[in-house]
Amino acid sequence: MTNLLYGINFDVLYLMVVIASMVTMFSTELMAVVPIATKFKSDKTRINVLSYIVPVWEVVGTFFVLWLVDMENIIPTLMPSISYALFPLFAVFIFFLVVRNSFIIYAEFVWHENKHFDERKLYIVYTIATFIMGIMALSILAAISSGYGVHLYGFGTESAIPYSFSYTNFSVFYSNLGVIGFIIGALILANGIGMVFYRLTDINSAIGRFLPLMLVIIGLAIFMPSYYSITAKDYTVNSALIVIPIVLALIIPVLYAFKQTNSIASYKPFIILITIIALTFIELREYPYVFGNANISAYIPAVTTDSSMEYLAFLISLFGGLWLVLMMIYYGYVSNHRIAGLIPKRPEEKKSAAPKQ
Amino acid sequence: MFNISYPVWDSAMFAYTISSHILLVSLSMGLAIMVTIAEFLALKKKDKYYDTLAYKLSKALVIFFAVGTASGTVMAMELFLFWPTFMKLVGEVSMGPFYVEVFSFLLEAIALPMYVYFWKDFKNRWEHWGLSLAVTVGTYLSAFTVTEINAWMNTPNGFNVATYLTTGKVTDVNAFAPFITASTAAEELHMSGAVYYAGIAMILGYLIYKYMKTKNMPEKMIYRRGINIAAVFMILDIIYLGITGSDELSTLMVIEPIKYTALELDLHATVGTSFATMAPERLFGVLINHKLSYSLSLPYAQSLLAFPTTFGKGSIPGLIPLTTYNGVTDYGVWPPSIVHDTLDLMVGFGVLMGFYWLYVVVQYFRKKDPLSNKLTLLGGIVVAIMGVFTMEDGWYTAEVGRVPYIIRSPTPGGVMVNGHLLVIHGLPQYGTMTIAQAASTSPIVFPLGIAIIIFYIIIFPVTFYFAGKVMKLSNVEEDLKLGEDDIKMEEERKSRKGVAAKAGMR
Repeated sequence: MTNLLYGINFDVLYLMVVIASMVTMFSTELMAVVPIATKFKSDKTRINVLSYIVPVWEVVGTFFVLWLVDMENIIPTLMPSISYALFPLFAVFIFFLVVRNSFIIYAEFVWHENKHFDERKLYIVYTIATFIMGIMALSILAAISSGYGVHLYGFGTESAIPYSFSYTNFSVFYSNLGVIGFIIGALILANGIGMVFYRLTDINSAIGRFLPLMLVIIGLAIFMPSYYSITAKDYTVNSALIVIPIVLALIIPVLYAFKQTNSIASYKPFIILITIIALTFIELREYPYVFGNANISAYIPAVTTDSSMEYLAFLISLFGGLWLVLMMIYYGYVSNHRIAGLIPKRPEEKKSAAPKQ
Repeated sequence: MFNISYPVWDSAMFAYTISSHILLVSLSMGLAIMVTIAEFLALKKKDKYYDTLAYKLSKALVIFFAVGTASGTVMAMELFLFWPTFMKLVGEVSMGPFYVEVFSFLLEAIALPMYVYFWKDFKNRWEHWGLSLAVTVGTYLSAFTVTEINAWMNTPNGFNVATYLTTGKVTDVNAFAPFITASTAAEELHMSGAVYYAGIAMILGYLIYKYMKTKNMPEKMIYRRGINIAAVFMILDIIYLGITGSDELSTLMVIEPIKYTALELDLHATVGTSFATMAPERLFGVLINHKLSYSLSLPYAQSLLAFPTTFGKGSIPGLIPLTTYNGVTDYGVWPPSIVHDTLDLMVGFGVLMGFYWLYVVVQYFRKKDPLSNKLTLLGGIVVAIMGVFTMEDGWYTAEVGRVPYIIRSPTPGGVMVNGHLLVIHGLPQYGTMTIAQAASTSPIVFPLGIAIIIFYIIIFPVTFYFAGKVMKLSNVEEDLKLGEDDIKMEEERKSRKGVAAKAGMR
């Protein structure tokens, strides 16, 4: 079985990297939910969080489409069954995606003279929408990884039954401790890493330096056994790979705890890169099966696309991926060397600057 | 649940979403190219008014892009959720264009935030302008690749259609083929012009309205430049649209004769050998018991338009012979006859708009300022509304013209095998996949659809109101100062470069 991992198809590996990139990019928004919702008026939130979120949320949205299209491209025969089985999760996700996009853009450009709503209220709606999207995204990933409560038809040995009969029993899915642990653990982890990513704690105090590390350890302690349990079946051959993401996740808060290294720890491209690598290894751990505990497991090599499409996907992935990386490097360069200037000033700042009458 | 079938509900939902989405797409594409042209002119002519125009429009662009991105993602998910069978086939055969589209979308999504949010931080203004060009290219490529999929739906290729219809298996896949199908060229050419025309029409309408309303001279100068760019673009585009529209119809006649005959309501074939046998152009009318009534007829016109090089000599197919097999006509495969009226409306509005632009050009050459005449300005607003309506109407005509199929046939008139129409269980195959076969039958499509309908009803007016408000609230003097600074910055950079070059410090 281990050989399967060495012989992994490039397109499948690419899909894993796409999923890892999408989850990473979206996580950076999920990490911002708590600081925006609780400390909106703090300068740290405005300078460290909003100046990052405001331009990058537009890029994050496109990663969802990249993921979806890549899934359609790589595993087209499995997608209709997934579509029917996970329809409610996707439906809630897209509904709140529209809410998220609309409200963040309204918040960015809201004018101060209006009486009905202010910047803070609009950002709060954005954070609620983002949080619900996060829960849905984690649920989708947990469903694909575990298959609890999922009934898939229309492919493989179950192909005699149409895929429109595929469904998920959500009471079974959400009553599974592993699934709950997966979601809660991931949220705690995201908040721990988020404190480093946005430099939200006071690095001059011991609590400030070690709080992210504590949260990451708690998050890992809940997430990793949960993930292991929901994906474990009789194919635990890649289990050793789980060590890599654990080490990578710990590196970030550990570096943050020391004065000499805390600036590199919170260097955003560094965290993004580390997270993408960590998540890719997490995905590799369960290869070659997904929906392990569903009525039928999906064996990835059996549902991947045919050779002609595979070759085209390889070419587009290669050139498109390189192009994307170059664009992201340029974006990183521009955003790190210049300061975003369109975040509206707070009304009280304007008032104080105006001459008294 | 609502006494409505899944295919009808799924189609109605998708039509609703896409007709809303293309408004945002065309506006975003129009704004992107307007911003690129305006900043280019600002740098070339060293004109702060153009720079300010680009800045103001870029704010609207980012707002519409934000909602457009959400809408685009909804569309991607809707395709996956509402049309699983269709997407399965697309995934197995023609995913290539969609895949390229995502990277175009990413190009646009990464370049736009840099362009707008870091506006003041670029010392090299041409580098900044390059980002707007990247946004324009990204938006255009996105539209181009999505249209490639649409063309594939009209004339599918890249797999063995006969085997698919007979066995349900996808064989002989050539994943590169769907990039260029029989209908791709004509469709792309016409789409490019139509989408830009509608997008720029919306901007023109807004600019004229603001121009008429404002008393502030510098603001008038900004809007005037915007109107000039939009008008020149639209004048050239309307000529282009006339040519490509005619080409599109001629192409349809050859490669999609069922759609063509439904659009023209040519029930019987015509062999135009002389004036006496030439096909007339039938304007409007309705089908009653499969016969055309209440239509106006322009003698010879259809043949002359279809075969201009042979002065109308050529054969025009008929809907009845095309859909008759063994003496039985299958009316169920006829597209709804309303597409004939929507086509006539589209062409009629196109002609009216052409006359308006001709009048503007004549006024210009008579050295009369079209912007000083209130009626001409009001006419511009009417043309803007007509432009948007015409694009929606054209899209409706093109899509409903494919009904009842979601994927038509690779060969003209139906799926041909060795020159004969494929017949399965006694039924001739006029298309590859029907809408009914492709639609999702998951009950959740109903609540999700209702949620999307309500949401679009709220989000659209709010976004347009919001964008208008944001553009109105920006301070003209401050914006002009920004424009002036941008021009100065570029001048200084150039002079520094010049000094360095002279000193041999390359």
